Formats: sequence, structure tokens, C-alpha cells
Amino acid sequence: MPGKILIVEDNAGMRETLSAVLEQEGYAVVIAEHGEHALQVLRQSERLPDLILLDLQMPVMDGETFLRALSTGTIAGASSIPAVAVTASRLEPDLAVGALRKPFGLDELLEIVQRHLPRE
Amino acid sequence: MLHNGNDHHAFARRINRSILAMNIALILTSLLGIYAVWRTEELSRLTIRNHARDLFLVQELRLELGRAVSVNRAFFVLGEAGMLDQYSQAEQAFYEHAQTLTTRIESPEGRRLLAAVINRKLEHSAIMARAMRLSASGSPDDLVQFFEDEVRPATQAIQTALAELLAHKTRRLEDAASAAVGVANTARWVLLALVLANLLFSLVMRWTTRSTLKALDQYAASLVEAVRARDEFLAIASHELRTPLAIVNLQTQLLKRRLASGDVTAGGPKFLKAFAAQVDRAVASLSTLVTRMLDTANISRGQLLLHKEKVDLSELTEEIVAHLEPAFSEAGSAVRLRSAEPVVGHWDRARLDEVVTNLLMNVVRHAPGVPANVAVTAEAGKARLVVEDAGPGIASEDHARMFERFERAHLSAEGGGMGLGLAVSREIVRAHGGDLWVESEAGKGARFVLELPTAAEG
Repeated sequence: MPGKILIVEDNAGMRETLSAVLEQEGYAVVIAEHGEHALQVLRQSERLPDLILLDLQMPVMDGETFLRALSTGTIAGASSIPAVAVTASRLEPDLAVGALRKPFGLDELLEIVQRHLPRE
Repeated sequence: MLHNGNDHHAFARRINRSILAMNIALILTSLLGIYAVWRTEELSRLTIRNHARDLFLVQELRLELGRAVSVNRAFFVLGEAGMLDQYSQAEQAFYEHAQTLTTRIESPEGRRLLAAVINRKLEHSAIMARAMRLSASGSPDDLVQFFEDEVRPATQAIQTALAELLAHKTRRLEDAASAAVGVANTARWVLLALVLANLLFSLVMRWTTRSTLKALDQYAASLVEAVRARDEFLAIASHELRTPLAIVNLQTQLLKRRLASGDVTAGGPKFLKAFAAQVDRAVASLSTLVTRMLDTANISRGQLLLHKEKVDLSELTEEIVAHLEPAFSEAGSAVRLRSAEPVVGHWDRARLDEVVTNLLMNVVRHAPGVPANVAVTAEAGKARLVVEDAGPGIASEDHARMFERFERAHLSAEGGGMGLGLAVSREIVRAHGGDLWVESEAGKGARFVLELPTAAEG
């Protein structure tokens, strides 16, 4: 079964590009436009994702708020999912396992994804 | 030019030092003035004293003359020969005083009058010598006759000359006294004026320095604020630029990877189409951002150049609404335009397009799925565009903040929500001589009003 990745990103272009790249690499991808939406997606999914790519600045609910919500255990099993922050700033939230700093390249993206989600 | 806080404080210190130097100079000048007055007074007093002493000596002359006259009378009328000794004493004293006066009196008039007195006295003395000889030979009646004929007129001549000298000396004394009073008065007023001028100068200089310092402090504060704003602007700008850059980066590398593996056809035209669309959108977004950054930089330098031409605001708005239709329907926003007639003015078409687009895109971003009304109307000398929506509205305390240059309440919005939109829009409208504002309350929708003058300028 391919690894499943949740992309939480408000910019449509970025969202689509990330999906295209990761699908191309053989991952299963689900998307959400902001934190609130992502929580909804997680609640409704039968199989939780193995990794979350998370934009930090988003409307409605930003990345950090989303991570805090996850860590409180609102969704069973979701608090242990590793999250990689996709950010334009140098700051990296404590709850994320790593960060991709825009504008990052394909190699960087795949390297960090593979580190946290090894393919069988 | 002042470059930093240290520079302008050094500048102020220099001003303060020069004020101190000027104060010291003025105080020294004042002291010098006081000394001069003192000297003048002293000199005046000496002059007055000299005149007074002269006057005293003239009086002495009169006294001695009086003594001589009474002795004379006793001698001639009563025939008392012993009086002659007293007479010669008085005469000697008279000549001594006259001698003293000769060395003291300097004015030509005084000297002339004194010489007249001495001459009369010499004539008198000669007459008296003849009287001595007569007293030895003549009868008492002869002597009385001689006194009446010769001595009395000579005595009167001396008295007349003396009176003239006295009057002259009295005049001189009075003149000197009033001259001294005049000098003292003038000096007093000059000194007072000097002190007042000094005071005034000090006050003006202090005030100037203080206001200069205040202005410099404000200048420094504005520089600090400008640097802070620029830093923030750079941070936001680079932050905003990163997302489209990341898209272009990823898409290009994806394409390269496919090309390298010879797998271009795997995705087929669908992949290439997606690639082109993504890169195109990212580049459009980049170019919008760069344009806005340049506008912002130009506005902050006061260099926003307008290329004015004849523009119909109704027509322009219609075009923009038609152009944005896909975005409206994607967001579920029903935008209704109401513009009855042409509203023509002399404006910068491209900038106005930017402003109206920004106002309409705000509706899509902040009030999606809510109907919105756009109306273009003309009033006396004014064109008005109103964009109204029934969305979430804006709390009144946020109104001013929304128009601040780097406000980024809605940073994450697509297409360059750099927080510059409204600020730049307002600057553009104001550069046209118009204004842009919002009327809204939280929960009661938003109403943006754009007002432009229709009268052509320049």
C-alpha cells in the first residue's frame, strides 16, 4: 500500500503542484485548504495519513493552531502523525518534525518526505 | 546632513556652545559699558568740580574787592592813613587769586573776561598810587574830590568786569552739569537696551535650539519608523514571493526529471497543460507582486507618476467585472453592476484598473458566496464607485489599520495578498485628488467607497 500524505495548503497552485509531484512519486495524496478543513478531512478518513505537509499561514485556521489541535488528541491516533511545516520563514513550530523552506526544490521535498515516510 | 542621533546631538551641542559664547561676549560688553559710564560720570564730576572751584575763586575776587573798596572809603572819606596797610593786603590777595585763576581758566572767553578784570584792577591800582601821592600834599577836600572823580568809576569798572566773569563761569557750570546728566541718562538707556537685547537673543536662541532639537528628534523617529516599515515590507514581500517561486521551482524540476527519464509522454498533453497553467499562474502572481512592490516603493518616495487620459469609469468597471466573472462564479459570489451612464474623468486608466480590481477581488476573498453590488454614479464634480457586500463586515476599529501600508490581515489570500492592496489603492486614488474609504460594522457587510474628481486637472 502506498504511503498516504495529507497536504494542507491554502494556495491552490502550491497545493496542485505538491499533489502532482507526490502522486508522480507514487504516494496517495489528500488535500485540505486550511486547518479546519484538514481536521474535517482527518475525521472523515478511514485510513489516517502517514505524513502531513502543512502550510503555516492560512486563513480560518493556521498551521500552528492545527498542530496544537491535533496534539490534544481530538482525533484518535492522529496526534502521532509526523508533520512537516511548509513555510516561508525560518521559524519552525515545535510540534513539526521538520520544515521545508520556500522556495524549496524537488530533491529537498522528496528527501524530507522519504525520511519520514520510507517506501517499502 | 545629519546621518544619525549622535550627529544631531553633536549639532545641538555646537549651537548651545555658541550661545554660551555669545552670552559671555554680551556680558563682557555690558561690563565694559558699565565701566565706561562710571568713567564718564567721574570725568563729569571732575569738570563740575573744576568749574565750581573757579566760581569760588571768582567770588573770592569779589570779596577781596569789597574789602579794598571799604578800606578805600575809610581812607578817602575819613582820612584814616592806617587803612592803607589793609588796602595793600586786600590788593595782594586779589592779585593772588587772579593769578590762580589765570592758570585754571582754559576757555578763550573766560581768559578774555579774566584779563579784562585784571586790566581794570591794574588801572585801579595806578589810580590808587596817584591817590597816595595826593594824600601827602593835597587837602582832604581834594582827596574826596579825587575819590569821587577817579577811584569810584575805576572800582565800578572792576565790579562790572567781575560780574561778567561770574556770569560766564556760572553758565559754564550749569552747562557741564546738564551735559553730565545727559551722558548718564544716555548710558543708562543704552545699557538697558543692551541687557534687553541680550535677554531676547538668549530666549530666541534657546527656543530655536529647542525646536530644532525637537524637529531632529522627530526626524530621527521618522527614520527609525521608515527603516522598520521597510524591513517589514521586505519581510512580507520576500515571504509572498516565496510561494509562486516554489511552484515554478517544483514544476520546472518535475518537468526536467521527466525529460531526463524520457518519460515525457507518460503524462501526455495533460501533464504539459497542467505544467503550463501552474507556471503561468505563478508567474502572473509574481508579476502582480513585483508591480505592487514597485508602486509601494514609488509611493513611499512620493514618486507615483500618473499617466492621465480620458477614462469612462462605468465602462472600465464593466470590463473589469466581465474579466473577473470566472473568479466570482468560482467563489460563488453574485456580483451585480449598476452603471447607468458614462462617468468620464481625466485619470490613469491602468492604476484605476488596479484599484477597482483590488476592491472587487476583496469581495471574492473576504465575502465568498455572498451577493455584492457595484454602482458607478456621477455627482457634481465627482465620480463615485461603491462596492457593497453582505459579508462578515469589518469592525470599525480595524478600518484605519486596513489601509496601513503593510497591514496583512489577509496575507494568505491568493494573488498577492501582500497587505499592500488597500494602502496602495488609497494612495493611487489620493494621487488623483480623490479618496477611498470603508463604511462597515462587524456582521453588517462592507461598503467601500471610491471618489474621484471629474474636473480635468492640469
